[in-house]
Amino acid sequence: MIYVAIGLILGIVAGLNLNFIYNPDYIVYISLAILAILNTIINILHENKTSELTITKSIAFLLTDLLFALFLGFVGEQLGLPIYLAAVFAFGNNIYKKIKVIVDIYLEKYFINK
Amino acid sequence: MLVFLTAAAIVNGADAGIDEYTIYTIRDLNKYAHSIKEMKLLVNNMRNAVESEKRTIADYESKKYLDDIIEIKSQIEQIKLYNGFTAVRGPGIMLRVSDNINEDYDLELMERIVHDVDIVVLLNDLKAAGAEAIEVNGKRIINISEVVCAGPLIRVNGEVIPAPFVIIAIGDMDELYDAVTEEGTYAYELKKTYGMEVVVAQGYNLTVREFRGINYETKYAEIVEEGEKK
Amino acid sequence: MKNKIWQKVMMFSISLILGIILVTQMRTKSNILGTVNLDKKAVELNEELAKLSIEKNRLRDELESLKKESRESEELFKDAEEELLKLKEELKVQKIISGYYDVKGPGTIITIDAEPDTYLSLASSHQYILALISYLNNAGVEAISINGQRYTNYTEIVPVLEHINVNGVAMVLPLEIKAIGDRSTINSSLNFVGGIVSQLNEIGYIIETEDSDEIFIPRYDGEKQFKYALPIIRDEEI
Repeated sequence: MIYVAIGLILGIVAGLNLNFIYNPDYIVYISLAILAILNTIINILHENKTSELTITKSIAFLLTDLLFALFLGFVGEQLGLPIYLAAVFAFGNNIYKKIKVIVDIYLEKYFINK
Repeated sequence: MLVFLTAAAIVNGADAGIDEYTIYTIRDLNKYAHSIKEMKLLVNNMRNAVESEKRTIADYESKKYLDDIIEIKSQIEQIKLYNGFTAVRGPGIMLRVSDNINEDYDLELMERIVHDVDIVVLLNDLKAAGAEAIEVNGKRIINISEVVCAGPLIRVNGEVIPAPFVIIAIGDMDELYDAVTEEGTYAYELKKTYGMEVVVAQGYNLTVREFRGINYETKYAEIVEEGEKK
Repeated sequence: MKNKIWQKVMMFSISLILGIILVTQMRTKSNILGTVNLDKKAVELNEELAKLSIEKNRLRDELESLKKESRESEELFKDAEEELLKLKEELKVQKIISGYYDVKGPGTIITIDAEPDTYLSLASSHQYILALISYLNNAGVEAISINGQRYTNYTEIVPVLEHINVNGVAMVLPLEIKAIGDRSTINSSLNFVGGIVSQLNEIGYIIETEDSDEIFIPRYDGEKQFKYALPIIRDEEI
């Protein structure tokens, strides 16, 4: 958890300092990647609390999320349909669900006495 | 629920007009902005081209050829007047000379005919008496005019003329008249000794034509500039 | 044990990357949009495109008309250039004819002399000199001088006593007549049977001709005023 927070903040700071810019043609994919990674992080956290988490699983989560998100973005453009919206909603929904579960677990853990 | 929402979103986005903002919008806007930038460059280039064309035109117009042309034309007119390439009018005399047609046994045939030499000397006498412009049968006589025999005719300025020879000279009427009538002049000799017909009349407003050579051009002579002396 | 560490490392690195990507994304977005938001940006770009289109069309029209003007101007310029050259040529010819300029060129030098012991009066032969000049003109001669005096439009050869006056300058034998022109034409014009040279020979003069590649003929040093002749303006009928 803490690592997530620290990592994020460090990442932001690093990003501000490093001044990356990328070719705006890819902005579609980066946007989706952001969502996918966010989703993976939440998934991993969730797995951490609920069941055994292995490295393989983590990497599997990461890769499948990323690939699927990018796939949707690409196909969506070709078809002319914004089916990436499916990814957006799915990820969003997933994140909310998982967060709820994690928060429940934390509450249980630290507020058993209540 | 989720599926429904997703489907709704997809359907909604499917007939998206310009008002729908999708994930692709930013990218397309970017492309749009790029092509506008290119167009700006193009427009800039065109502006530059317009400026340079304007400068070229100003360049052409600033060359003073027109002034030079006018000046040279006036110089040419002046020299032409002096050279005899311009028609002139003024007071002077008219002189007609023809062969002696009378049967005259004292003179040989050749002596009774008007020769090129005779005309030449008459012209010279008129010049000596101050003639400023001379013509023979309508042909202006200038320094490069030839007056030579061409069989029974005389050739002047490349064209042949027959007798009688009418000479018009502009200058001091009285001096010119005296130059061809006084005793001892060549014209007097022609009339008295050789019996040729020599008729002279004075005039106040005679016209002498301009010299009309055949497209005269100099092929051999070159003007020597100052400092290039022999 | 290894698992835990690995997990932490992974979480950390993924988050790191996420952070970087987030910032990058925001940066890129603001690069593209500038300070406005999405819909305003589209409108802004549309306006700009419209303005540019109008200007492009205006410039294109202006360029076309300017190019046409430039071509016309260039043509006029070239025509003026050509005309100027032609006029310069004409001026040169007139200058040479006038006799007021020194000239040089190929031609012939004719020397008229008498045999040493004979007496010949130039004054009584001046018509032959005149005829000689006439025949030189017949040969297309472009400039003539007699003993250094340029033969001009107003030159007269006047017999005075026993000699002649040319341009008012007295001259005696030998007479050197220089002529610039085509040498072979000059020769045939003077030397045909019964021509002026043989006539002079019969009287007793000795004529020598010498061809040269470069003859120098000086200009006439004098003035001429017109007192009687007035030029006719072109509009008047002759």
